[in-house]
Formats: sequence, C-alpha cells, structure tokens
Amino acid sequence: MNPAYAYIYDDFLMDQRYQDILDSLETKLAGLGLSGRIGRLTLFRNSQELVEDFVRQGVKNLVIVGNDNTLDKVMWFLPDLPLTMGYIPLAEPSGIARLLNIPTGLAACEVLSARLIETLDVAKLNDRYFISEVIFENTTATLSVDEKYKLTLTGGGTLSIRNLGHAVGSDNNLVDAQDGLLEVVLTPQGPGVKSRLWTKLKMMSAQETKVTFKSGEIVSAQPMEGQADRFGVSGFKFSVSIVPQKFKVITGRRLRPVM
Amino acid sequence: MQSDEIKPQSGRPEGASTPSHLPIFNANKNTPATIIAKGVKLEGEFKSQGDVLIEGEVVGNIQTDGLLTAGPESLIKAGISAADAVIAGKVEGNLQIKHRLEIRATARIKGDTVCQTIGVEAGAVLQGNVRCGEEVKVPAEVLTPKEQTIKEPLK
Repeated sequence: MNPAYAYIYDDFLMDQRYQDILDSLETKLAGLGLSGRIGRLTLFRNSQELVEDFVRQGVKNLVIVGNDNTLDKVMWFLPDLPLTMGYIPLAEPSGIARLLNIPTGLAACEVLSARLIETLDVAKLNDRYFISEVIFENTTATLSVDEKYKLTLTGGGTLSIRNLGHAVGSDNNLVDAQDGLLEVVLTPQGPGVKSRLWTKLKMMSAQETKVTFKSGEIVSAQPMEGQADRFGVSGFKFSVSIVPQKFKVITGRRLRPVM
Repeated sequence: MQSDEIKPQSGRPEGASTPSHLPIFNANKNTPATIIAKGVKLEGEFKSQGDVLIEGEVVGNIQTDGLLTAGPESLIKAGISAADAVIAGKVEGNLQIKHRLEIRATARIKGDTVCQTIGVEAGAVLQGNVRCGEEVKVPAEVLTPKEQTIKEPLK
C-alpha cells in the first residue's frame, strides 16, 4: 500500500452493480503501485473530517472515486488542504472529468499513474469553492465587476461564471483555469424558433456575451436559483471571486483554453 | 446588397489607395476577447487589453488596446478609446482611435473623432468634428456626449 495515496469512494458505489469494476480498479491500482487507504462517503459521515484524518496520517494525494457529485461533496473545502487531487470517474455525470481530460472507468488509472499535475485557479461563490462554473438560468440578474462596471441581461437569460469551463452532456467549453481570471458568459433568452433559425444564418452574430474579470457581485431583485459545480444555490446576492493558483490536480493533459 | 456582416474589406474601389492594414477581430489570441452580445447592457468604465465586439448596449466609457468592433445593432452611449475600430452601429460619444477607423454604411456617430487613418462607407452619418492623421495616445481622456454642443438628434 502506498501511504501517500487515499481514495474517497462515493456511497452509490456500494451498489452491487459496481462491485466488479471496483475489484478491477483496486487490482489495477495495486499493479501500478498506487493502492492506498480507502474512505467511504456515507450519509452520516462528515466528508471534511474524513479527509482531514487522511491528511493527519500523511496522505498527499486524494483520489475521488465516483462522479462529479462525489467531487462536489469535497470540493467546497479541499483547496484549503495540502493535497493533490486525483479523480477516477466511474459514472455520469462526469463533465468535470472531461474538462480535465480524464477518461471514465479504469483508463483513469493511467492518468493517475502518469501524474501530470496542474495547479489550477479555483473560484469562490460567497465562501464556497467551486472549480468549473456557477450557472443561473432564466435570470435578470446584474453582475457588478470589480466595482467598475455592470452587466445586465436586459431581457432575461442565462448567467454563467466559469473557471474551468462548461460541461453539460456533449457540450464542452474549456476555459483557461490558470490565468487568474473568471469568465462570465451571458446568454440572452431566444425570441423564438423562427428567429433563432434566422439568427443562425447570420454570420458573425454574437449570441453570448463574454467578459473576463477577477471579482464581482451578482445581484437580482428576484430570487435566483443556480448551481455551483453540482451544488444548488439560491438567493438575491452572491459575491464571486477567483483564487489564483490554489489547487493541484492530476489531469489527463496540459490544459489549453478553447479559442 | 448591404450585408450585416462585419468583415474587413478585401478589395477597394478602383482608384482608391490600399489600406496599410485590415483589422481582424481577435487576431491576437494572447489576450482574451470581450463580446457584448445583443440583449446585454454594460454600464460603467470598461477597460480591456484585447479585442472588443459590441452588439448590445454600452453606457459609460470603453477603452481597449486592441480592435473595437461595433455591430450594426449596437448602441453605444460612451466615449471610445481603441487602437483600431470598425463602427457599424449607433455611437453617441467621442472616438479616439490610435490607428485605423472604419465607419460602415449603417453607422450613426454623434461626437468628435480623432484617428490616424479613416475609411467611411457611403451612407454613414457623422455629426461632429473629424480629425485625421494625428498621433492619438491610448488611453486618453474621453468626453461623454453631454459635454458636447451638438443639438441635432441621430436619425
């Protein structure tokens, strides 16, 4: 067993249908010399205490085994700990894995073994860390940026603030997570099927507003509901900021922004 | 046929001189580009180091070290300071362009303009002083429309 590694298994992996893949995973990790302590996230177990116990025992690499929901259960505190994070996605949703170029299943062990470590920025929504994006749909919220200017969706739409990128289904948009900046993407609501078709025929017609910034405040007169990574948030006001070069992650390749 | 596309011109009418350079949006990919789409309003002091594309609404001041492109449906009530600019929408404010300014046929500009070289398509409306061939420093002080004395409204 490698004392520098610990694995956090999500509780859904206790289902019988995952038993075979977990056995294969542990065999493969042992062969690569990467087997380590195992901790399981359960309903009544505090994930922060579990991870901090591992840190006290000398663990330097924490590997999340499960899916993006598993990542979300630890992401809110993990950047403050002296750890390098790995990720083995075994089920959907795994959009964050795709942004990090980590394949699903046993192939993720090869990525872990290659140990390509990138130091990423993380973002904060109020006091909670998130790594990929926070998204508010059907909102007329205003984003005040660095106390210098404001951006408003005049007719409503989607407001998304991205650090690593957007990954929903087959739609992947990678953002530079090492530039010390957040990217806000404002997508106005479409006027209707006919108009959307006509708009698609227009060249050079920008449908999304994109601005980069470091910190800001999202304010709305109407209550907003959104998701930071996979965590649901609601309220009238949120502060958002970037924390540069905060979080070490084992990735599948050198991250490049999509231009 | 008039097009809504914003493209650098690849040819010139016979007898016209060839431009020294044609601005291309986001040509310098080392700095992030900013896009203000239709349906979005920006208010305040906005500064960018990269190219800026505006198809929505801007109120305040806007400043960039790159190319500023204002689409045909854009509405800008702001002072503009940029290295290069292509204007096809409505602008109420002064323009200070360090190098080249291209004004398209759909442009309606109310304010003073200072640039090094200028190209104006037939049909564009300009209300204000135009000075070309001077060195313009970027960034520079820009004035908002309320400090102007022009009374005729933009059509």
